[in-house]
Amino acid sequence: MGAEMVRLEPETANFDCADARMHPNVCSYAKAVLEEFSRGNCDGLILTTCCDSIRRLYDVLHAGYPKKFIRILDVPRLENEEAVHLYAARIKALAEDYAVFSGRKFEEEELRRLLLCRAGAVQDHVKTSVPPGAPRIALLGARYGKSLRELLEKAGANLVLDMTCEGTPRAFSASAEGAPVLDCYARQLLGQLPCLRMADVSERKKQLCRFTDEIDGIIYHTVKFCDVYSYEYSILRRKTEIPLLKLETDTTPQCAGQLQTRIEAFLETLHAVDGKQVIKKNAGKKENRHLYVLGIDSGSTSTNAAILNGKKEIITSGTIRTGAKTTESAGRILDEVLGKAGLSRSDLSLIVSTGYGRVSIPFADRSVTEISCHGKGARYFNPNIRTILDIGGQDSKAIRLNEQGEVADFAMNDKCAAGTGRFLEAMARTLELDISELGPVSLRAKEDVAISSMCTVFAESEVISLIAQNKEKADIARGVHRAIAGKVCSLLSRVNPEPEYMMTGGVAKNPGVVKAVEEKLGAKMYLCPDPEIVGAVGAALFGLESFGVA
Amino acid sequence: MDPVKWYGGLIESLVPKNPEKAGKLIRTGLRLEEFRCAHLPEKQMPQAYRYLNYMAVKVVADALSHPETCAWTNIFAPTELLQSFGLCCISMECLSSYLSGFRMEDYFIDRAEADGLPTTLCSYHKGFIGAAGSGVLPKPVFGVTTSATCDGNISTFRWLRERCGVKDFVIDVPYAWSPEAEEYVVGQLRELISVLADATGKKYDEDALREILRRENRSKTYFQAALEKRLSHTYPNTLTLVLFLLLATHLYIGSEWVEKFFRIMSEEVERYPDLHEKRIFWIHITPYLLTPLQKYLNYNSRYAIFCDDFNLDYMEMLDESRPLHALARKMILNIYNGDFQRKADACADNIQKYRCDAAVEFCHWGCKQSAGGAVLLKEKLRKAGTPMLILDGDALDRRNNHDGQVKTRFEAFLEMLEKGGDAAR
Repeated sequence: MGAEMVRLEPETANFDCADARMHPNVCSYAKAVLEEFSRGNCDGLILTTCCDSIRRLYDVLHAGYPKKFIRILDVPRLENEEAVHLYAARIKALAEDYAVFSGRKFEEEELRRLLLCRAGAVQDHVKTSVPPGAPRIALLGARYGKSLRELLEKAGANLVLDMTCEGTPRAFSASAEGAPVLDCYARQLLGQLPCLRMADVSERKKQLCRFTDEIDGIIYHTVKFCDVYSYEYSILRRKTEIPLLKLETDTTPQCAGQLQTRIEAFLETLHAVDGKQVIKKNAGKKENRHLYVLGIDSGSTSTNAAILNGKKEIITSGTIRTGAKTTESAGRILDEVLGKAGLSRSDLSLIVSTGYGRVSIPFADRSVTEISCHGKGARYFNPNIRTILDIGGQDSKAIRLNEQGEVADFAMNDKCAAGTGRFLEAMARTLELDISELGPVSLRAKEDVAISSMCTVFAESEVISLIAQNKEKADIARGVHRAIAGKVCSLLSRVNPEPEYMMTGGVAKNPGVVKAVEEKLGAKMYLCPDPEIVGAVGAALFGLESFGVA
Repeated sequence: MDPVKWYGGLIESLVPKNPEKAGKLIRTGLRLEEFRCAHLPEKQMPQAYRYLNYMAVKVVADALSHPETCAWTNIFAPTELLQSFGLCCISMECLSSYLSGFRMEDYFIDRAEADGLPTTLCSYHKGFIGAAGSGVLPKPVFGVTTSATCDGNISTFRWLRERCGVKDFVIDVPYAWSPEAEEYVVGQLRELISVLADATGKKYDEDALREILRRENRSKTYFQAALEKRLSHTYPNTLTLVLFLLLATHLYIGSEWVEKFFRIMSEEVERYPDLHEKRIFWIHITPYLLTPLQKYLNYNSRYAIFCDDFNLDYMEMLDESRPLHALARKMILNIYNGDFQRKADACADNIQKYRCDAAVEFCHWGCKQSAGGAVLLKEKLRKAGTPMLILDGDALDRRNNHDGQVKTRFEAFLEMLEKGGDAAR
């Protein structure tokens, strides 16, 4: 009918307009479409009855833009002939509706001609311009945007199968002359690889089975408040033996750093070849006894460093606050540990960075994610460790190792601060305690006080209410620790944890949290003397491996 | 010590090692509640609601005790058809609420989340999945769900099939009514009939279905009469009773006991005085566990929930001469299906018809179909002159609520109502 069709791929910095016109708890993609459409670049919008959020998006836009062509097309969930006829009739009604709106005419023969042109010209969405040996990835789940695509490419993933919503290529064949073209078109649309809204999705399993030998890992993508795909993830994680990573995005750029860590860590667990070239400075010149490698862990709260020699002995280590600039704190900790060890920069054979700020350390020779480093570091301190709980400033992570000490599975909190060091800091501030006092104080608790909310903001209000009720600080502090324990144990359960357990990260220095986690888990936590440097030690160990020190 | 919480804790402690025994304790707890409802009902509770409360607990306890005659459904499933095959329905929404009554919702929700389901998913679905996945619920004969209203329905039943081995049937409900759409659903109901006949070993009895629809029509007539009489009589209720009413208007409608309940209600309403209370029209689910609301809405002579949109979502009479077509129409034309405008219009009409003073929409956590239209509805009601409050919270998971904030919002709304304001959020 001559209309220019554009598929919206919205990415937005905020949801100001959508939150005001819909509700914050609606699918992020639907809200991003509302933001995009509100910019006024389209004359109309055609949505489908794919999910609750999109149905309500239609209602809101239809009411808000009465002069634009905003319609919703009801897509059947069945694929039988009754469904095909029903869908064909709806498509025809939509076309006739558009004819009235635009003054153009709908010709079935024109559609047949178009389909004939497109037949066989299926566009392959999957790109294969990646280095040889790169891990072969299947991407499943909800639709994804440009940012995630770029992150995957940057991390060196070889995307061999795309089964995401809208990701599967559409294949049309020309209908035989004389056959009703709309029926043929509807049949082909309904016959695509089904998404999770369809009644029968068995073809998805078959499709994945067909690729089993061709993929090294599955990345399962979901969108915040789009829940339909998580069901498939829940089933898949039990049934598949292919390593699986779940990623959640919300069409904003806010969580890019954490996403990058997850993707890189996942590729590392697939024994990925690090995309960056390992620079073996001075390699070959030095014997192991003169070999020094620095591991530096740049976290959101603290920056930690450790120097290990060729015998895998810790020469020295240090911890400082990260502050506002990652690069500056990394430089300071470098000077500090070199000074303590009596070494100079030229004595270091390799510097390996890890942590949230690992990519912002200019003097690092290579970087490894903190997931792999905590795994490596934990086994250094105790070779029996199988499950690690790392609670840092803004992330909490559960990591399970296999018998060989390699990362077998991991889970991270979402971008919400619940269950992290930030949460504890906020609670300590409300209780007017120094963060270092919170743990010891909680051990004096006598009365059970429950903090039910894990939202930092709500929990703070709850703590204030408890203070108003004259509850003891010790009792409230224990309640806070138990709330954290509940949250992180739920995280642990996602990786099928096995003993022995170890806790790393700054929060491991809080005896109240450790006790609460041990009670909730019903198992002891191994603690090393300085739980903050485990990641840095792991990074240095990775460095030593490149010199053949295993 | 709270005995219910203690009992719930005891059940939770048994789930990992002995889920069957935990399930038995759930049934025992329901039987104790059944006894309490029969012999120690709340004094202010009207006779009809006492009967509803008792039956609501009894039928669910019976269904759990006899899984060989039990079907799992969602609240919009054509339960009349299942009744005609002698099956007793348990809806996942209803059972999740009962688990919350035992104060165990957090345990089962956490189990579902540990299984990979998201925190943003509706807690009714997660509570049910957590319970079914843990093995505390005996396996039913069958599961029946519809695609209408809620994304979670098809997915949850598919999960139950994959993980718990419960066979299911999905009815695809078109978004808008047309003769073709009605036939499309009738075709699916015919298929369901043959599936049910196989599963139960019983023959389809259309006369039995007709009788169920006749009882449903009589029940609706009694309900309608009761609502009209309530315009001049203050009939006490609570947030919990409005929720229980859903069992009568949806899950068990067409049964003899539901007809009896509505008959008693229509007869006894006139015995209550007119207290000229402020009438609130509730939209979506009533969060019975929110203590700040209980104070103002449970047996309160100043404010009362007159009715809610959920219990009035399809008040048309069913054509018993074409029972399958009647059920198909009922599903398609339910105000929760299709464009939101239909629901908004129905709410506005009912508010006007029943002379309600205000509306409150409860945006239940994870329910996008409800939350996504809240602003549209408020605008519609504002134009009609009805003040509306949008309350956010969780009707099932106590941890997802903040009592202090709910209290402030609700009390401010009531203050505004007294002074003649028009909207709040």
